[in-house]
This record gives sequence, structure tokens and C-alpha cells, in this order.
Amino acid sequence: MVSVDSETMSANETGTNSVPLPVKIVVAGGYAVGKTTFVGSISDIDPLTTEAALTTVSSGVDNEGDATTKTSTTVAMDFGRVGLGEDLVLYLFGTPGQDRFRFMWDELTRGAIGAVVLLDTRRFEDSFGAVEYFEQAQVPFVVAINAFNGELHHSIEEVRMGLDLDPDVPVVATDARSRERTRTTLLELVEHALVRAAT
Amino acid sequence: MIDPNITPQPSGARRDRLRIPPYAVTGGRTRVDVDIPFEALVRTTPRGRDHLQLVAFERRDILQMAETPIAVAELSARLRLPVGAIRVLVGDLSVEGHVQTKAMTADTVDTAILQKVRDGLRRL
Repeated sequence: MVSVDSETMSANETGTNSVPLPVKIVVAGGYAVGKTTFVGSISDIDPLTTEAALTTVSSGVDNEGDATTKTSTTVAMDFGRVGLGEDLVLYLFGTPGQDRFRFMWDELTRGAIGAVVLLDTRRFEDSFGAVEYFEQAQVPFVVAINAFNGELHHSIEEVRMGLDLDPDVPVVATDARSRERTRTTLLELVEHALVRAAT
Repeated sequence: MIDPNITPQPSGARRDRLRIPPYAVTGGRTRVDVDIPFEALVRTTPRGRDHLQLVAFERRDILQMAETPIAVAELSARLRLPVGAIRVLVGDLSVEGHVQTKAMTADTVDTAILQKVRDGLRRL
């Protein structure tokens, strides 16, 4: 890991002049599952949008004169910020769930506390990619069922089986609109990451 | 190709701003020279403050916005530039000593920091 710090860093750094340590949690999930709502319910600022360029170079096989084609698009991420005291600030990044945005997950999960996979139980399949990715990358994650209008269309046990989750992965019901439910969901993730770090 | 996951961009200010291609802003380089995380906090140094009149355009915007610590992603959103372009600019400013950046250096977060995050979330 390349150090990116231009000042001497340590977790114990103190002093009024010091810059807080930024930490991050990734909020993944399918389209319109409530990622931005989740981020916004607890963020100190209205969620902001940032863009990253996605460049795909593909080899052409059917045209000798045009060996490669390069397409470029951008992926938008919404994010928010939660101040946790004077020396710590938590960033929440909402990221699209599809496989082709994995380049973004590599980037986002590096140095992350972990991920919350938001799930709409009517669209299980939207979360398969994220769950598989975080399992393989060994990123601590929790699955949070966003219960629209308090309705759970499947039980937590059904979700666990449907996603074929390891027994230690927490599955919780949440409500992305609720600051308190969002806060406890994030706490669940941090507790899980602590357990993982201890083993 | 139409992608439902790409947020429609507001017309107006953002569109105007993006007429300047990112490679123009970064002087032709679009590669990420320094591996700065999106959440890295950027702060202008005293040297950067002294040299404010010597730098122009987006670089000056960054120095002004980073008077108080601000994340790379936040600079990207507020200056309406792709995060990759901000990284290049911040990387340059950092090499020149005009800003400092701060981020986690390890791939995983250690227990002491996790405990602080947990305690902070409990206090919210």
C-alpha cells in the first residue's frame, strides 16, 4: 500500500490544528433501492454527487481496420459525511450494484470499514453481485433489508438463504428514511468489522 | 447506451463547467499519478496560502476550498469536475507542498479506529 499522506499520520494524532482522520463505509445495492436516502438520512450535509470516468477498451474481432474500440462513460456516486467527534469523519459512498461497476468497488473498498448491502426483497437478484464481490474481497459487510413502508416481503431467514450468506454475516431490517435505523445499521456493520478484526 | 444507474445530470451550471474537458484542466494527463482515496481530506498549507496568487483556475479553487479540510470527493462534487481530475490536481498541489492530504494508509481498518467509529456512532 502506497502511503498517500503528506503529513505524519497516526490514529493517535491530537491537537486542535490536526485534520480529522477520514474513514468510509460503502453503501451498495441495486438501482433505486434507497442508497441515497440511506446516506442522506444520517449525513451532516445533503448528499453530494461525484463522477468517475469509466473507460472500457474492447478488442474488435470482426473488423481488421478497427482493432480496438474505446468507450467512455461516467458513473455517478452519491456520498455524505458524518462527523464523529473532532478527530474522525465518516464518509458514506453509495455505489451502483452492477458487475460492470466493479472497478469502482475496488477503489472504494480499499481502506473501507466495510459495506452495507441494501436489499429490496422484491428484487433479490440486484444484490447478488455486491454480496459475491464483498465475500471474495473479504470486505466486512452486512445485508440491510430496506423495508419500504415497514413491509418485509421475505423473512430475514429467507434472505439469508436466498443470498446463500455465510452464517456470520449479519442480516438486519432497516428503513433508509430513518436516521436512527440507519445509525443502528451502520453500528451493526462496525460491530461486525470489530468481530472480524479480532479473529 | 442508456444506463438507468447513471444519474441524469442537471443542465446549466454543471454542463457549462464540463465543457472544459478534464484533460485540459490537468494539462493533458488523465492518469492518476498519486493514489489518493476519494475520502482523503485535503488542507491548504501555509505555503499554499502564500502562493495563492501564483496558481490559477481549478488549482486556486482547490486551495481556497481546502482552507478547512475537505475531501477529494467533495472537491469533485463542488467544483463539478470528475474525481479523477481532482486527484491529479491535488496530487500536483501535494507534491508542490501547497496542500496536505490525510487518509487511511492501510487496506484494512485497525481495531482502535473501529472502536472510535463505534463509539462515535453510539454518541450520535
